[in-house]
Amino acid sequence: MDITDLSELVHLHGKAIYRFCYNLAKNQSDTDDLYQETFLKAMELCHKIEKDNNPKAFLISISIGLWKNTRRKYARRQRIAPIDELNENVNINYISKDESSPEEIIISKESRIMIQNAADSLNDKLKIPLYMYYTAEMSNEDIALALKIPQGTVKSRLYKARKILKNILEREVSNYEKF
Amino acid sequence: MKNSESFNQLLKLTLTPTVEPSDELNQKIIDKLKENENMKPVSRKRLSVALVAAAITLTMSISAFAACNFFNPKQVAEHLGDKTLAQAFDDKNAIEINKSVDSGDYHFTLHGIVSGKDISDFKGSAEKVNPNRTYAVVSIAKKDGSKMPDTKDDEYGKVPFFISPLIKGEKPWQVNIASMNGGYSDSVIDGVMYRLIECDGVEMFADRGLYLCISTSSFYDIKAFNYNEKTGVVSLNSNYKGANALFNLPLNKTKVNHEKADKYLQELLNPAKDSSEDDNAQADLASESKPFGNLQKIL
Repeated sequence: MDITDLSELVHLHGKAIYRFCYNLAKNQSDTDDLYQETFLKAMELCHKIEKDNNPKAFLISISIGLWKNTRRKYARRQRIAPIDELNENVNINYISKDESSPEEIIISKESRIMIQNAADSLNDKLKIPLYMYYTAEMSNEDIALALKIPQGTVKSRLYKARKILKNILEREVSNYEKF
Repeated sequence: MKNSESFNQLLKLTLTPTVEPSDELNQKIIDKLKENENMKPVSRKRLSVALVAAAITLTMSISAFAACNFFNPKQVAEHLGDKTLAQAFDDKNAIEINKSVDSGDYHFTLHGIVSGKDISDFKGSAEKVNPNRTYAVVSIAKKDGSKMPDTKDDEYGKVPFFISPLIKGEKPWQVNIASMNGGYSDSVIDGVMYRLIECDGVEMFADRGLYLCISTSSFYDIKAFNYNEKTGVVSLNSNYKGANALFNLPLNKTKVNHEKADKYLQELLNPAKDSSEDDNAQADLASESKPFGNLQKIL
């Protein structure tokens, strides 16, 4: 793969990679850095990237590597720059029994933040495949390829992650209903 | 919550931020990719280059092999962010030299030289004194293959290098880059140090004979070179304890200007009362840079 191909990947997979980076870095400034560093690192390694062999998975694996290397920096900043990005358009009617009311919108936002926080609190082994699957929209096969683990392990980790998140959400919803 | 598909959808929506990379960020990355591509060494055949280098080292001390694995002057100027100078090095007026000399622990290569007016993006007060400038690119590599210290390293500068044009017939300790409003920029790429030097234009002296000297010293070191006052010839002192090298500068003789050259030397060697404008320019020079280095400010 040459630089022209790599430039095409910026347009082709940039959005998914940026969002994945955002879920790791948690603020725009660090996301921009991580995203940019991902492509610059990819440039150094472009001779290893095959155009037809899932370059997105390769790029995501670079992001993970870079993020792990700078985890302390990102973690420190995250503590002083909490997440404030909210998606007003998120459709979460399926957790509401009735038509949306102002109260339910608040619940929706709270639920969303709750899930995000719960996902963030997962350990890396569960969190990273989760973000790869849901944020970067990668298949189990691609995740296995990028993380160099068997597909069965990917499935198992995703299952555990979902289970933990589901339990947290159910518990919180239950607490809210009691309240 | 019983519906796993709905839960999947919830996770998908929740864990997908709405953020996107800005167009500017994407363009910046693409520009950097292109820029870095341009900065790649001309050849990556390190093994073959090493073999060639070894063979040449055995047979001769001066060679013209260097161009194949070093950056060329245009690339060095680009790396230093001087696009206008990069273009100048690509111009027909630029002279590609690519001569190498081994001395001490170092492998010196003179890559190329260019002279002219307004050929750099970085203009200092030196241009007020003399708008015609000469620029040359020299690389310094370790002979044993180890890396030169990066400019950010503590080791950088511990071994100084003095690189300067010299004019045949002029005392080199009087007429050198330091007295000719000179400056330099260093950049270390892949363990090779590239120095871009600049000074007042020397093309006007082309018919007299010009040299480019290198020595491991902070200023011109009279121990590194011999100067024959009768003939005006500068030669290498092979007994010098440091590393030294001397190249001939094959400049364009059509640019020779005896009248201008004499006037320039007269002013340089007899810095009496210049015009007030020149005084101001000289004052600027003195205040902004110690022995030379208006380019150092850029870095």
